[in-house]
Amino acid sequence: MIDPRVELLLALADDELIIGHRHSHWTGVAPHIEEDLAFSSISQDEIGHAVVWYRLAAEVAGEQGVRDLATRAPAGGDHADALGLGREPNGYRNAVLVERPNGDWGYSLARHYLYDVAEDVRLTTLAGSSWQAAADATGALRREERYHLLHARTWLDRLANGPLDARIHLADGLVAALVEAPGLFEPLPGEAELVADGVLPDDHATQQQRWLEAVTADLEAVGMDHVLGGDPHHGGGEFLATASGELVARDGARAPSGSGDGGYGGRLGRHSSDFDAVWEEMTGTYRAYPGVRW
Amino acid sequence: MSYESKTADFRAHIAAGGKVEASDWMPDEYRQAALRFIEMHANSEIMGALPEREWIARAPSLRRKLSLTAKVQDEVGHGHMLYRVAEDLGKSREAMIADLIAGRTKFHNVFHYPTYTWGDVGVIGFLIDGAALVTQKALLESSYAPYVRVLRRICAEESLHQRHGEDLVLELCAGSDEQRQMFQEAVNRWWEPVMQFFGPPSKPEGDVLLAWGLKTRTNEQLRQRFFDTYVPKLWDLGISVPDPALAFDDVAGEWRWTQPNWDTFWQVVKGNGPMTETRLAWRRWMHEAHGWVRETMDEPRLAA
Repeated sequence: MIDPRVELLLALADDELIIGHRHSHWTGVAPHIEEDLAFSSISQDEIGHAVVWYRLAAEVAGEQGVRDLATRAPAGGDHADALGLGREPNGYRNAVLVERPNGDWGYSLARHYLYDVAEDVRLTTLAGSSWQAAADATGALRREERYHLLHARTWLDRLANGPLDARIHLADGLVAALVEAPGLFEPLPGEAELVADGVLPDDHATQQQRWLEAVTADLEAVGMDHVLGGDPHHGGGEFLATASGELVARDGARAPSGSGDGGYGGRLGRHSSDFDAVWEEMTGTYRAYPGVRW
Repeated sequence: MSYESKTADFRAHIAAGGKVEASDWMPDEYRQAALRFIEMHANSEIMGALPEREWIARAPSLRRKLSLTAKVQDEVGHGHMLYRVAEDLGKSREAMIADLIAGRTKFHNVFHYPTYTWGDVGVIGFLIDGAALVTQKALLESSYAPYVRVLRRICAEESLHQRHGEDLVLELCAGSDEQRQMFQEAVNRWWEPVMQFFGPPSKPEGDVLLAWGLKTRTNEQLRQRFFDTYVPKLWDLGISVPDPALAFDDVAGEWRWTQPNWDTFWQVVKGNGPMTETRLAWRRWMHEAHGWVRETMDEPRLAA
């Protein structure tokens, strides 16, 4: 059985690595220069955070533990690479939300926002951990996280108050991302033990509640809270050019459908088919030449 | 004062090593030459991001993933600094992007080629960035002052990139046989495009960019500087250069080399390279799909 602290760290690290991987897909092709630079920077921060958590996980797991987890990794290699690039797909603990393709920028931005509020809640919780090494690590991460949140909230406000088209893109993105966001708070294997030991001062259900309160407050402030009910276009049906001027409900075709289970499964290593593509691409070079230095 | 006498004064100013600011009077020919040159440079930074960014997702270690993201991020930043310089010469950024994605304007030949392995990332970071650094350092002597100011910053960052590329290549060459082979094959693939990158040997008197002092070195002078620095480095690493004629001629005091196929070069820069259409189509699609974001940034805020 895997040490629950390792489960906790892998969930944190894998979320960071995979969202960082996805964010970096904007590098070079983002819709605006400032956003190209912003998403590239955030991506680097998130992957840097993943490395911090992988190193701590390796300290807890030990050499043999890392080898048991990272069955694709060569012996004696870098632990962060072994954990980040050397596991089987079902060894990854990231939430399904972060493995989804970037899609429309409205979705990417909505996910970035929801994720970074979640990360803020998680890091704040962990800052009070009885496990000193984990609590200490949150300091530097939270300093960077402030800027991610500022970036996300600035855009949330800008799009919500922008032209109608921007509001529609944002609303569609939020509805699609909200469906799977609960997966970020899926209980971990061994969660009860982590809570009992004070390693995790609050369980994930409590953290999710905090996250939802923060998200609700932000969305109310920009007049977008109707998306929490899964309605992307409040009062918005599609206007049909009939004699009656009748409004019909949109069919929701613009919003990608969620998995219907709150995006759960990631913490148990169960992923969507989108993860197969991430894993193939992200680990391909590393796996093809085992044991070499790059 | 007539246009012609103004132009004569302008030429004398340039010939005396004088610099030109965006707000100065300049002949239309100068403005056009400067704009076309800087726009092409900006386009190249933006298009040059595409072959490299494909390897961010596939980087072989987390450290390399981070450094490659940072590097491509810098290139995008350079592109946009250069677009600002070009804009002041009288063409909007929107028009430049529209011309680029419609294939009406050019970008460097080396960014029209595919990448196959991490060895290509090594070649781009070491040899292509090296070649770009040679040409950009020479451009610090350019007569157009706003360009020079931006180039100073670009050169500082490019020096870091070049070291990043060299470090990556050293790791490959000190690594397994497969890694060395991977880099050697990439050098073989890229040598001709890198030679072409400097342009064909040209007659200085026919070069409008030299005449206006926008450039101060000929294509061949720059290629020779590149040989001076990079050929010995490759040989030291045990990497061969796929040009049997390449050697330093002590008598002439310069490198002898084999002319590449210049027809291929002209075909590629005219937009018929192996990856030209794919990369432009991809950029076109990303641009069009996100018109709404640019519109949002241009529109005033709605009332809260």
